[in-house]
Amino acid sequence: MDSAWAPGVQIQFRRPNFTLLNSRAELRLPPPKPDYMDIRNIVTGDTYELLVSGRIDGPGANQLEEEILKAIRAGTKSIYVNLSEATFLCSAGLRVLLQYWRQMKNTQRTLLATRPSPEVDSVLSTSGFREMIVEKI
Amino acid sequence: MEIVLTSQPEQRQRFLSALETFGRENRLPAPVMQAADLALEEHLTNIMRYAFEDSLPHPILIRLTVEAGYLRVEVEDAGKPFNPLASPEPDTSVPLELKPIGGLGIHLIRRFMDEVTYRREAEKNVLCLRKRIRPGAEAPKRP
Repeated sequence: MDSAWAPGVQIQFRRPNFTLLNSRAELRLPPPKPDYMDIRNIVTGDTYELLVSGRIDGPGANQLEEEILKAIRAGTKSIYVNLSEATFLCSAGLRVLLQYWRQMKNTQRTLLATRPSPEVDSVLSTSGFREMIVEKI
Repeated sequence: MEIVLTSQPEQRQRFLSALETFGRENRLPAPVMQAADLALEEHLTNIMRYAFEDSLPHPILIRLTVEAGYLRVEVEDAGKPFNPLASPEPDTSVPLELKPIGGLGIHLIRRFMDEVTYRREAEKNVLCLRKRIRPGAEAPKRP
């Protein structure tokens, strides 16, 4: 396109290649602690998506329960627990999911797990509860 | 490898790092490490919850060995006698709506490990878990 201050001169704007820096290594952050867990909450109207990253062990399950309770207290109709970035799930975490799946269902609302990572999926399958609490796509 | 933990939650990170190091040094496939990680999480939680009456730090010994194509994990605690295998298997045929939620931890340990044995020895509970090491090991047994 012509430049305004030098008509006839083509100025090429080269867009730099943005590679998504989603790797901690690229950002030179130290590796997360072994029991790292983080929950991000994405609210869309009446729906809460809890995006869980890291390890859902005993303490992690307590944290997950806290977030679910916050969502319930806020009056949400649907809670989706996105497990795509979860690296570990134990019976404590599973119990939290089951308890609140049941509670929400009993009040005509929804709590489902979504997109389990392979490690989490193997635990859900082995428990026998996978078909019940994972969202069917 | 032997590691002694006290029955306090803060020891968790130290233990997880040690487990990861052991897995790396012995080139254990991911499914084997996942099984050991999960079984230990379940069993250690049970010990901390049930084995001791007080909240004093109690030592728990974890021994990891690779032998004859198996990973062997032994956990010793000096708590009151507790055999986790005495719990019945959950009945997976019961309608899910009606199922109680207890017993899941032991169920997962049994499914993810190939052998699980318990003995009471010299005032200690000893749980021995074994998992076959297969390159590219497949998923745990389905219910």
